Amino acid sequence: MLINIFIKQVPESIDIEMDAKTHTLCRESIAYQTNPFDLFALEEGLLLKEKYGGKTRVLSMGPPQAVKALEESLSMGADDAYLLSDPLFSGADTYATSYTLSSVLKLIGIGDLILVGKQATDGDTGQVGPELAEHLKITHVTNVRSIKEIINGKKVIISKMTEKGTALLEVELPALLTITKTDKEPRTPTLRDIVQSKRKFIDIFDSKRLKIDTMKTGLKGSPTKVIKTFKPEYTSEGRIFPMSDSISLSILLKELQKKQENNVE
Amino acid sequence: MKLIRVIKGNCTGCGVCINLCQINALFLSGKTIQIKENCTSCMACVNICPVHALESQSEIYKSSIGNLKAKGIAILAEHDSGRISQIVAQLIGIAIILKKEIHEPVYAIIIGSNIENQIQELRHYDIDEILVYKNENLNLFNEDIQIDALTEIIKEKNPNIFIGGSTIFGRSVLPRIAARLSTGLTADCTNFSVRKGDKLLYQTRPAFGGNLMATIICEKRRPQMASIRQNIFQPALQQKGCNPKIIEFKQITLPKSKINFLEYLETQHCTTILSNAKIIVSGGRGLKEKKNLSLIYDLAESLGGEVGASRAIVDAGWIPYSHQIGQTGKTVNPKLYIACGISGAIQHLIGMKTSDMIVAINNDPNAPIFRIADYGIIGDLKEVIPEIISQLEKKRLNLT
Repeated sequence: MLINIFIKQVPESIDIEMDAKTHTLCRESIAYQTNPFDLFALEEGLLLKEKYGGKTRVLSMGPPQAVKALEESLSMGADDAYLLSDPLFSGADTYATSYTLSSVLKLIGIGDLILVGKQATDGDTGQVGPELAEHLKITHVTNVRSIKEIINGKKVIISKMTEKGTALLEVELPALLTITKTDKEPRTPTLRDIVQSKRKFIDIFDSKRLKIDTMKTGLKGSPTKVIKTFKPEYTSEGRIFPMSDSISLSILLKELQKKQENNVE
Repeated sequence: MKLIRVIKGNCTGCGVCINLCQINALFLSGKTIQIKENCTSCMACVNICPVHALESQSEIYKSSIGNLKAKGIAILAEHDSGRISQIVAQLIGIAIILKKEIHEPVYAIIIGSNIENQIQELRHYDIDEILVYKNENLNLFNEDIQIDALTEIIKEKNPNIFIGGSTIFGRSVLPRIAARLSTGLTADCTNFSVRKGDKLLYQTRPAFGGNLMATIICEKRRPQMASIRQNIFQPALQQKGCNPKIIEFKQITLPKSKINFLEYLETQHCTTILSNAKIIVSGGRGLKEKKNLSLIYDLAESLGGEVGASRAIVDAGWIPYSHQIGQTGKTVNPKLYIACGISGAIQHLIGMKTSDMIVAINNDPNAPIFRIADYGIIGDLKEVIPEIISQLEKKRLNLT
């Protein structure tokens, strides 16, 4: 089994500050982490490798500091790591991002299974996974809750969370799966793991090494453009009162009753 | 990144573009426009310039498909168990508003097997055409071939705008269709407006868990694609006397799907119910013991609502993950959200803070949940919840 796992480095806190003048993130104050869903994807990949043998590769696109996230993945047990980094990749929307990510797999091999987190906590789109599958012309399934079994290296049995419940599906390989939170808590590397993983090498690809058309990457290659950002206003002049305040309680009850009636209609 | 160039010979310094620029990236130097480094190349100025003095250096822009023929507003009519999904009326609602702005027809696209009922439902909406593809091999899960069919219909119909729901199905198939058509897609939109003249769709969506709103355009590719957040937009109502034309696409042939449905492992319907629920009562760590979860169920039942949960009690194994609300769970948007014993960590707030009315019950007066609550009761939920339930019961009895 060759398993490719894509991860993204995201701001640790999403309670971000915007620069009022430039409409960009105030980057200096931000701490970064690996996107939580990606860690569940990585854990699934590592468990599959332990069960069926093979190799796990972890890949990311981002500024040079994203090696930190890849180092964490290596210490958790991923075999190889790749970083796609080039100023020409910045400002990419999901289309340009997925195109850029697909280009590295076209060079180093698609493998049997591609795992990505369901969505990233910064952009919240959940689009890069399915778009990447399209660029690679392979099947994808979203919202995967667990990977049950690989059959003869040809098919994978998975459970998908849907609006109706959890469905068991059989999918032909190669396939891309987007992983939601699973029951398997991502492992914490030991100090020994961390020290040993320092020997592993992170291969960095820029646009030249990727042999990619840079008119299709970054802001230039993005069909969508952000033209405005703003912080939403959440006004809260809430009525906060102790249980003993019977007047407030009866006002609240009236409101609840209204909602209850509207709900019945 | 700055990708716009000023053609000095053409510029008259009229300043139309300066007023238009949302981020003040343009200024007048002498009689010519200059562009600052904070320019995001949104192209708004390029389009408005009356003397063609601004030029884009972006390849996407230059290689524009020239898709000026694209016309119409298409919506994805997803369905389940013989009925169109709740999101469809909301999509039709927006499509009708957009139609008033851009004067283009509205199409509902529906594909599947045994979809006669659903087509009948769609016929009662004020839309122009129902685009139908029937194939008995289509089921809820073989999205790979559904993507093939939907893409073929879109290619054939060439709509200007194509919107779907930010549902599990929509969020899976729409990105893939967008990538196949080499166009953009804006996820989870909460607002739309149209630029007069060129019918450009301004798509606004939350990012960073709702801490930031972004307005996005897809300037040169068509269709302009977006998914909409559930329960934000007013649903269209069914009417009498609508008679949309039904156009069946018979010529599409599909390959064999690579996704095979085996069985349902569990069919708690709570996923769909939570995302569509008008009332949600959620419990958190403040419940202290699993048995107190019954209070949450009782209050939910009394109000006719559904049960949600914070991550803490999901991780503790008290309630399945499908109930979890927040950053690693679901985003919900009910009319009423009651948070019981939930302190209000930012990760939870992200999942529910756009609710119309938020009520918090917590014994800690400093709990952050009170900062976003419309009503907050400081008290022990073991006393507060039964009191609310009994009062609601009394009122109901008085009414009937």
